[in-house]
Amino acid sequence: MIARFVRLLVPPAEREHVLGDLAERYESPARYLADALKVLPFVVASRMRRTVNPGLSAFLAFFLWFGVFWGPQQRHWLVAAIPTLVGVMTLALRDAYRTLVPRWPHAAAGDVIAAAAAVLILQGVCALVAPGWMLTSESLRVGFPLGLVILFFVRWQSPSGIHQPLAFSRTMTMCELRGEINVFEGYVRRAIRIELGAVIFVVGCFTAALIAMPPSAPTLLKWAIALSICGALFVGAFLFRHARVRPISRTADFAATIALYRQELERRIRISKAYFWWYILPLSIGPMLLIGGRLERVAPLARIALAVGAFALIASLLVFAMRPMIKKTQTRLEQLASVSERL
Amino acid sequence: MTAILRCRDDAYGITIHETVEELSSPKAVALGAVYATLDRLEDKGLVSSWLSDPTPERGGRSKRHYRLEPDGQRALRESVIAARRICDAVEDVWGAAIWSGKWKPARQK
Repeated sequence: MIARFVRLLVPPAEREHVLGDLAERYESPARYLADALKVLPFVVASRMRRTVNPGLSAFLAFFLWFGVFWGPQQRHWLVAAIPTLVGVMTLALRDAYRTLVPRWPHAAAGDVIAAAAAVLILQGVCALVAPGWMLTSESLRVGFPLGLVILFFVRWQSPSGIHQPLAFSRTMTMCELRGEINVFEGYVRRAIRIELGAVIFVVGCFTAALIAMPPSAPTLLKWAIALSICGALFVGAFLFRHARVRPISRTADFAATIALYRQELERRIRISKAYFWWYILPLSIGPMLLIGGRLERVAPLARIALAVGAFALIASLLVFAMRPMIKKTQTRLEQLASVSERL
Repeated sequence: MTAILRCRDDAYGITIHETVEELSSPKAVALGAVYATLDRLEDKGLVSSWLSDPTPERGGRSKRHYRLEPDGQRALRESVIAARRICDAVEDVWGAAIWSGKWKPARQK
């Protein structure tokens, strides 16, 4: 029973060898449990270091605090900060405990359900112990469910929790190379499909909102929504035209396949490095106006400064979140330069 | 990395931990800290790992074996050279007495 309990606590990716080592050191049930409890914090922390993307987590923290729990509208910034911390920690633990072959839509839905459950439990505890620390009912009714839908798309689009140590093999068979290319192409195709789906969703929802808006609605709000639609359309067009996978011919020999694959990786790095210009900037102008519009009590100049500050923060977090992926692709590109065929 | 080198073909969690404890004696080292360090070394490309076949004495679980990669061997060599320089510098001032049990810290003036 102790072994079963310990098995549950060890992240799946580390389970095999950690449980094996603990079994090898077994002397008595008490010693086994003590060993396991001493090892566990290191194993979980190491797994989290490997699987959590700090930039993406910081972005999610900002998104949860501002967009889901409506931090500026709460009595105190900490009222939204505590559920934000609980949510981000839950997601980080979900990453650490990710199974080795996750099914992404299910995994993303599981992430969102876990984070929502943790926050709701926290709210329940607050309701019993300290009602003053509860989120406003408006943010729980509107911001929370809407934010969870967006969180689902973010988690689905940017799967985290996968960790692969760098490959060192200097030789590959044609079959292994094709397998790697298939995984790479599948990953890019999937990401673009999700992004295009999100573009259609955003354009549809925002257009409907713009049409349904009463004539008396603030002009700033109308502009913000219109610019958000334009930004989403631009991103969709860019992805469709420039970012789609260029399939590598299956008839090419090993050297030609490596050359074409490296070309594709180089193109992917270029696109990722220009991420700010074709993704963040077009998608941020509308929401920036929305943020500025919501800060009604703030002076106009301070409002602009806050909106630009929020944009700069989100942009730098997203660019930072992209860096590990670029670095990993760059490393693979360099490794492929010296790979030869193994027959 | 020294422990991996010393364990040769039998470098996995338990043996590496035992060797690290032996090398760092009298300081105790937690097994969990060894895992965390091995993960970091693997991420830096200094060591690589693979799972062996499961064995009955480990409850049917596999061992994660480690080996030094060329970059790891280079890094270890550089560390050894740096450590030797530090030893030489200290020995120059304190003499060979530092290696014996008779060594005592100098009194403050």
